[in-house]
Amino acid sequence: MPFSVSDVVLGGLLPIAVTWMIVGLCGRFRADWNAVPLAAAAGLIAAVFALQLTPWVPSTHWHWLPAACAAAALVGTIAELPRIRPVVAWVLTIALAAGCGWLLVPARAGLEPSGPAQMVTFALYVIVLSRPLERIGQRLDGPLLPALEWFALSGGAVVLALCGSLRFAQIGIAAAAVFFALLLISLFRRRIGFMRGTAPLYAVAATGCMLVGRANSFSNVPLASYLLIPLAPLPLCFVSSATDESGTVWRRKALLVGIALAIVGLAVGLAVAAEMGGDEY
Amino acid sequence: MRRFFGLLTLAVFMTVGCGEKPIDESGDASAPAGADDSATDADGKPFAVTPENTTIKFVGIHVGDKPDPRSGEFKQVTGTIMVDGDQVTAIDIDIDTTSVSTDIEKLTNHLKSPDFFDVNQFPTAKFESTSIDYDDSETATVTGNLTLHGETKEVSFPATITASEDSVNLKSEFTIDRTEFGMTFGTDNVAPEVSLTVSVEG
Repeated sequence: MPFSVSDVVLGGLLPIAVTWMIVGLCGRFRADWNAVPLAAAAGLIAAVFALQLTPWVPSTHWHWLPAACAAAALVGTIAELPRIRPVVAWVLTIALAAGCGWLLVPARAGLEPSGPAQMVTFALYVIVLSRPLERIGQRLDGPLLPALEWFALSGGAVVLALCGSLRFAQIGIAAAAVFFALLLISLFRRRIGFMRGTAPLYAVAATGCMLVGRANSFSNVPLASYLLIPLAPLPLCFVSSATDESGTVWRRKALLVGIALAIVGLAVGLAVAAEMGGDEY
Repeated sequence: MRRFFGLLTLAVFMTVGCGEKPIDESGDASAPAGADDSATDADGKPFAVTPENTTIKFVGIHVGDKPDPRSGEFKQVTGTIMVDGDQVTAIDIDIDTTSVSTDIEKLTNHLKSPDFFDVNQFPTAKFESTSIDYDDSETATVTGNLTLHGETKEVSFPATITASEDSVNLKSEFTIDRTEFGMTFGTDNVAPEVSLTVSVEG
């Protein structure tokens, strides 16, 4: 069942266009707050509703994905405002993690792992990803961070397609597309801290998509594939923003990027291996 | 400060981890019964619908020049058919949607996903007849409420029916539009119309 032209346009090009347009407009008006997280969330949500991937009014757990991503972008924006204290940023992040976990984990009997275990795991992922990636976003300029986040989300979309839901794969593609838009923008607008505030959005989008995909999958894709994808950009925590002429920093950066790519490759490889064989349709 | 964050984080996790979300019963219909009230309200003697005597098959096709039909069936079907003399007066069928099955495992898994039947949220489907109008001794138009994917719509379909006190033979082929039942995903690739074949041989 291939993707149609409208799937590609609405699911891939629309989020890029919306994200780029909003970042561009806010930059033109010189807003004193960072519009990038909300622009990215708007691009993702535009694609989700244009393709009718979720209903406007949520009635089950995975319907809350767009709202969770919007909340994450809002938290990311507020947490990075100049007057917000670190303690407030932490509290907002923890509340986001707990609230989105409550909404996205399905409320049905027989979950494996159990519902509470999944909620705790989801919340841990969001917190562990949000704060470190946020510090990276504040230190680095350029396309490295959005590129790895785009790559991880793209790998996640492949895992979701293999796990048996093209709907969730399309949501993953839309999420990847907005970070590809951020990657492109960062190439033209090399500014330290460009990705400020986007870490919670990445954390919720990546972890949320993997969670709902697995919760609704009847495939043999292993749990490791779902768990590894969101963690891929974390090796960047060890990247230094310093430069040196001997090339040591660059070699280290290349190694860490390689580790990040390998994490995505491993996750996708495990999923492919699990679903290999059998008839196609 | 670190101790505060640690305690706060621990408190949140304990609250989330210890709390149980109420089980979502929205898609979980009551257990299929062999003698549903609506069917047994009609005149006649109940005939039990079982997976051994009843098959419900469906065929979907792809949009475009290559329809590549894909067929499947529901393996777990229960219910009651009321028989009065040589006529069927009511049909009440419960379908376990988690029993959907095709020849291709990946296709079966895809059909169970939220892309189509979303069996986790809607584990059952149901048909309850409201009228059975005989055209002659063996053909009738069956009208009733089909509940599928959480949506209930009235459907009418022709059926060939022969019945007696101890047996029922019913065969019907008809088409539904899956989008009317909220299964709207992928209509660019998979046609909205789905052909259904219901067969009771008992």
